[in-house]
Amino acid sequence: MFHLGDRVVGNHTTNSADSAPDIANWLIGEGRLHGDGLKVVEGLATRLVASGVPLSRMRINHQVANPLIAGWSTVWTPDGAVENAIPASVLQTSAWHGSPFQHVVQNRGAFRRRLDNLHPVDDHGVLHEMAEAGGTDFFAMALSFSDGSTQGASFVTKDPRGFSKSGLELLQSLTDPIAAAMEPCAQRRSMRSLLATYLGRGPAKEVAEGAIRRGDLVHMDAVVMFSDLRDFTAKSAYWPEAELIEAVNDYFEIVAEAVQARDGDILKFLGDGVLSVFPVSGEKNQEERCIGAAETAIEIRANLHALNEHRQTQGKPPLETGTGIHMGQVTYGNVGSRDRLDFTVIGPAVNLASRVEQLCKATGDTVLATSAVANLVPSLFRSTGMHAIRGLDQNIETFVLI
Amino acid sequence: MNSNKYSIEIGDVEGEVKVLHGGWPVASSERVRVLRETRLADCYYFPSDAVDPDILSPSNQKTFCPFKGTASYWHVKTASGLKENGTWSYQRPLAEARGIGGYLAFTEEVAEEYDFAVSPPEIRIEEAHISSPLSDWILRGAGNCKTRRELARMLGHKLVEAGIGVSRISVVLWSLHPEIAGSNIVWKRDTDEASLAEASYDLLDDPEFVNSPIYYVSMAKGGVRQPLNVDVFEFDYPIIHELKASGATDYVAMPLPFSDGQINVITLASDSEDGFSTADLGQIFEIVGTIGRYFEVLTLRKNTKTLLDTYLGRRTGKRVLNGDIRRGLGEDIQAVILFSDLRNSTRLAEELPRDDYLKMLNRYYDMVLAPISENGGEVLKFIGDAVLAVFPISDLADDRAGQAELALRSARQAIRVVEENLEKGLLEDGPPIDMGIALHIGDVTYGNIGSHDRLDFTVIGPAVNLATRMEGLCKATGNKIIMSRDFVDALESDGGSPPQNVFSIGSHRFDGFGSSQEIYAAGSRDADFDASEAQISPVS
Repeated sequence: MFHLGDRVVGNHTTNSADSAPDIANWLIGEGRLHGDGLKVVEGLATRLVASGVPLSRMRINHQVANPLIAGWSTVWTPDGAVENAIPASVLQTSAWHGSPFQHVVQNRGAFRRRLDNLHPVDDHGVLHEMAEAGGTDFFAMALSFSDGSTQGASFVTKDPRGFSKSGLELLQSLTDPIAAAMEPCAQRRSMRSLLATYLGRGPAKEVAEGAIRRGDLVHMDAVVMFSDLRDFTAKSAYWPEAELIEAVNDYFEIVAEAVQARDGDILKFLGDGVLSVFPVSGEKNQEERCIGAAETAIEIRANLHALNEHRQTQGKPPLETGTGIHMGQVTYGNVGSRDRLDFTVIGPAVNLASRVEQLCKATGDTVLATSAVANLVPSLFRSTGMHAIRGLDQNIETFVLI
Repeated sequence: MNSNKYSIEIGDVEGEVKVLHGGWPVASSERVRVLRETRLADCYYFPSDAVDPDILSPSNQKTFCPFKGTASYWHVKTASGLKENGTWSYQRPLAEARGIGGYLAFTEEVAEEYDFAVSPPEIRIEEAHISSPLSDWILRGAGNCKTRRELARMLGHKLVEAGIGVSRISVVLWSLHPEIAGSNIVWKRDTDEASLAEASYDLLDDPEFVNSPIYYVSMAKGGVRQPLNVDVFEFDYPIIHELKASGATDYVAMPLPFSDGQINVITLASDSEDGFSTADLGQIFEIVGTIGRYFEVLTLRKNTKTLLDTYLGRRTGKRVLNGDIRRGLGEDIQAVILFSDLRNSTRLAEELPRDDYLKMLNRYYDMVLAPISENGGEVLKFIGDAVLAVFPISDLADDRAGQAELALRSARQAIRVVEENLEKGLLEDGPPIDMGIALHIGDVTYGNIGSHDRLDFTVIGPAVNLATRMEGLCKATGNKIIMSRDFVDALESDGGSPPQNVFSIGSHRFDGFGSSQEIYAAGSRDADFDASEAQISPVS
């Protein structure tokens, strides 16, 4: 990495005009084909510095289609480049309102401000932060993606003379090539994010990597967990709709958070229930997965308890739940018609987990598991004896979570 | 220098030249040649005996240049470790680059320094600003093309405007689609139309495809350039002969790589008397690197839409693409709800061999989903062996009756297939499938539920729950299609003739729903059904 302080002095007259086509060609060709925003940003910064632009910080933002994330930002400094998600909530804060980024994105223009004479109130906090970090000059510009959206890039220098005219011309000449290199990365990220949001993280990865045909499936061991709100249909007939949806969402939040924290997949929301799986793979063996599922159930139970206490203070009835856990061989992948697919788990082990969950209703337990799970985590389960299961000839032993 | 004047020159370098890495020689020779190519830095090519073969190991990487040909790569062992793809060579160069055939050139990573015994040849000063209408269009205007066909067509126009005698462009783009392996877009100058043909996954085993330049390029074997006004073809593919027969004089097929490493293909044919000139190829090669961006962006957009259609359903996928991806973004709509369930599936899952069960499950989904989608319904969800679909009702007059009729038609189409198969008994592809379908109409909330970052775009509400409960009655009463009173009222709400072959099965009470309500069943056929077909499987 270059040490800017040493390099800037004596090399201020950039040969940037000469470098523009080279940098543009790199961005559009080799840089773009990296398919990695981080490498694009690093490569671009290195080339800008080499052609005499006294860069001390560069940031490129793009939007992402995600319920929680407004966008993705890649920031380069001489110490390296890092990527960060921009939470959707930022758009409601002063960090966005009145910021140079908002200005360039909304006006599809450019913004430049010397940082050595900032107005204490009129200039945005972002600019003051840059100035405090030693920045002398700030430049931001809009990037037009070919989907019609506008993204932004910003540049900061610590050179006492700020950016030169030729340096700024170079940056502006690169708006289209930067967009060319970044847009496919942004699109891929959005696609993966949408798939993860609606299919779950595991299936999203498989699908994005091409497992998209009916019959693209694997057989594997997995812990299967069904979680369900008890007697919810009856309640749904007389609860106000908004309250129902709130209750279901609160419950789903608790389950999804606990499952995903242990690298499990939320495969499906089923009315007021959730189907999740913890695949046994090279990374996690059967025992680890069973422990993970048991811990998930414990966390759900604890958080549900807290939720119910909160509901009580609001005069709302508690949510009652049942969870069934089983481990066995499942088929994981695509079923459906040829052009309308479901990425899910199938097999008798899935049906058994569902039946065990239904048994909770009869036994009054909140979490029941089969011996396949309990035997691997004996410290967390206690046998509740043999039970008849609908659809099975033989009774099976069930275990309650202690 | 004008970008129309693309040139390649090859010359000899006087004296010995060494390639140095970490101060140590990697290669040295007195027969080094220099290749000067428009807009590229001078590149030194060393005869193969200039380097110790033990430091080279073959790589699979190949790159293509339309006038130099296909370059093969080797990894190079150096003082600072193995440099992947550190040297390349054109083993069978095209005419313009014959002079460097078999010679090796080194990447900057390997060749940190060149040591010239005689002072090095003068370094050419590159023209700083290169712009032409073509490159301007590629950088800015091409983004305005909204479809891949339009992009191919505009590319054709711009090449013709730049004086290149291109008569046909073909772009092969691989897709992320459950049924379609890829699309081939073909633009022809004489009709000025860009057609799009989609190929199923069978293509990949098709001998005609395997024996094509597209396959060759897709498999990362390099590129194809074949002048057609010669007697002997180096690349002897049927398509090349076809193009020659239709008047083409030159042909080039090049990789159009995407940023995920996938290799798509672009081919161009010329009908100019002398084919593509070196200058033409220079321009074509340059823009191919750039135009790939737009094809990639459009292809990714299409793939995203396909995936959402495939896993979420068309209407829902569209909503998600338009940004309805926050929890709570939903609307209250009226819809017909169709809930279908496979009979005995738990038992079948236990008894059937795994693959037979999966086959049966997919067969069931085909039977249910095809009529729903034909009649404009939206399959929202697979729930084990059940399917939840809706037929949303618009504000248009009579839409309640219209959507109810479409839903009933879907159910009847599915059940007719069920009945035909049940009569035949055991089928070639497994046991006959039995199912029940419940139809209801009501107010539902259509939108996102779930956790903050894991969502389900679906319908919820008591009407949905009632439909799932009703379906249980199919088995209990021996009917395959059952309907709520509200649904039957909707069928009759347009004031037309009363629904055919629909009858009451009495009052029923459902778990979780207070009072009992009248429930109806429908036979699989209505009175209008074609009598000749009805004979095969009479209404029971």
